[in-house]
Amino acid sequence: MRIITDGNKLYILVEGPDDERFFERLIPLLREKYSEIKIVKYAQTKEKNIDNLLKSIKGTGAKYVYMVDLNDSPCIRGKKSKIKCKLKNIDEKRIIVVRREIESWYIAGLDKDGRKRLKIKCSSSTDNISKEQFNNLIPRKFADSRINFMIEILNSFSISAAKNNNTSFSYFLKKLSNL
Amino acid sequence: MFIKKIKITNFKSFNDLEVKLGKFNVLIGANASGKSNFIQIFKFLKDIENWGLNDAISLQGGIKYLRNLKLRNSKNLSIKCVYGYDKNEVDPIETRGKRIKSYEIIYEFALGFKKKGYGFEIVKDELHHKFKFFEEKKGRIEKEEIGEGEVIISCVDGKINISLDKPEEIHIKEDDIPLLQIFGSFIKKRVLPPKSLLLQSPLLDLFSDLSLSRSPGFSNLFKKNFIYDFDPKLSKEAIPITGKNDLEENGRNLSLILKNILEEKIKRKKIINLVKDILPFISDLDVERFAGKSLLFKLQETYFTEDYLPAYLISDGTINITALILALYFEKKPLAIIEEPERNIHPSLLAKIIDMMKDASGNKQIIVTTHNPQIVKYAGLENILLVSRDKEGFSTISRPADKDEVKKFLKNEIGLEELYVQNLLG
Repeated sequence: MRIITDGNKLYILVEGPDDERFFERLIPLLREKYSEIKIVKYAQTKEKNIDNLLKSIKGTGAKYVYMVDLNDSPCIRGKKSKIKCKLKNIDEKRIIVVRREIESWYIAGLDKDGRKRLKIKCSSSTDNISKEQFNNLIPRKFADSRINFMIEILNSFSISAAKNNNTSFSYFLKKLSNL
Repeated sequence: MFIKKIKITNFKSFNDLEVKLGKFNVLIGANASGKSNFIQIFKFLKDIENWGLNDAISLQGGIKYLRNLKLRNSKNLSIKCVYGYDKNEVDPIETRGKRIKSYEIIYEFALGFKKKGYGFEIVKDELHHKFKFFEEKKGRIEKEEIGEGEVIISCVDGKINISLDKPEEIHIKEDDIPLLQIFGSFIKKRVLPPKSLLLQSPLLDLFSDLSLSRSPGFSNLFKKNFIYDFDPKLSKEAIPITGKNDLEENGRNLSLILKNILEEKIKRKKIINLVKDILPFISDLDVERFAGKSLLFKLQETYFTEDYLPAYLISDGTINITALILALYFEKKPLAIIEEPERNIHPSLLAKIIDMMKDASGNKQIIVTTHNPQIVKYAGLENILLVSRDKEGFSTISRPADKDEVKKFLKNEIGLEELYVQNLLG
């Protein structure tokens, strides 16, 4: 019997469209290591189905990461344990917690010039930026579409800036190279 | 401004309906439940403004099909729309040491029917502009609310009447409100032609803002309501270079609208950003001119950057997505109704489409009709309106979010889309 594995394929499980948009932009970077990258949204999906999906991904031998926002949780470990309780097939090591929400990763990717161009005033470390704080940073020019603002950020996105500006993003990149 | 509530009686398949609306609404229901009849309310109001009451009735198939086939002449046909304001949309006026701030506009009319035949008469035609009074109180920085009032404009037998209703202890007269001071006596002398509603009169526009500082146009709220039902086949045809600057309800003039948008740098960037967000393989949008007379939309894919694909070779889904983005973000309409936006679009893209609808609903009210479980899944329970028929055959609209049974199902991990497919949301 021959076991077919797909170790060169990566599944990124994300919550919703804002996360999907962000990780789609990272795909070219990840192609260096993975031949195929699939982004799967899990919001509004039954936990049983997500758990079965994880079981199947593991069965194929493909790699996966499960992205989750820290939100208001007091610690990363607690957040991971909570997910482990819900999803029996998940490997805790494959859970990557975004500090604090995906919006903080968007802002993290803006270097000095990017911030100046988009007229965003905030401190360089984005570890504690919440969704609400991000919404307050949206310039008037983009008042009619938060999505357009997010896309504009991604158009100027710098991986090296994001690594410097957000500890969890830096951890995510390290983790991906050692899956 | 957006519609907070609609109340109708004896209209098409509805007997007596009151429904609250949010900024983003997804209308679902079985076939022939009454979804289209609900949408017809907005079309009827728009037609009254555009063509007058008689023609609007005719466009609905006459009185016979406008009122309920079962109720016939037993009760009045009435429509009541309650409008609210977005935050910071209204400028207050200051008069006699009081601050007056609008918070609601109600427009209501009713038609009564003759015992025999299809004759009718207007039995009610009123606009209520409601506001709150504020006054400075000693020791307080913020002005304190001291009461509510309203300006009522009504029309009886063609004669227009204006009155101010307020608590006796608030000493404000009609003349203290700039709008009434300037136009009050003029409007009272006006007489509307027979079988005409206030809604048809440009006078109604004036009453959208008591201070006259801005006039978004109350009646324009109906006139500019668009019921989009895109037909990608029509958008694939070349169209004349001359035409209206509004996206047509079937999307036929997509190429012309795109041309106008692409000519402006900021708008160009925005449309390309949004289209690429859903269809990342698109690298550019453009419009081809033929002999300076007609236009045809074209796009460039990342797979071959040397050439553009003309509209007639572009997929129906791509056309639909482009038209949707135009309707959501580039058309200056207070209300956009979109019929079955999921047509020709792959299910994996629908989460982003719904996300865009929610995003755009910050600036306009959106009503979507659908049969698609994926749309239901991503819309959010709080935004769903379920249309169904009662035992007597009348259409009703309910909010599944208000039902304990639905909440229990969801708590037990039965997905929203599954409840919809199994017909368990009602």
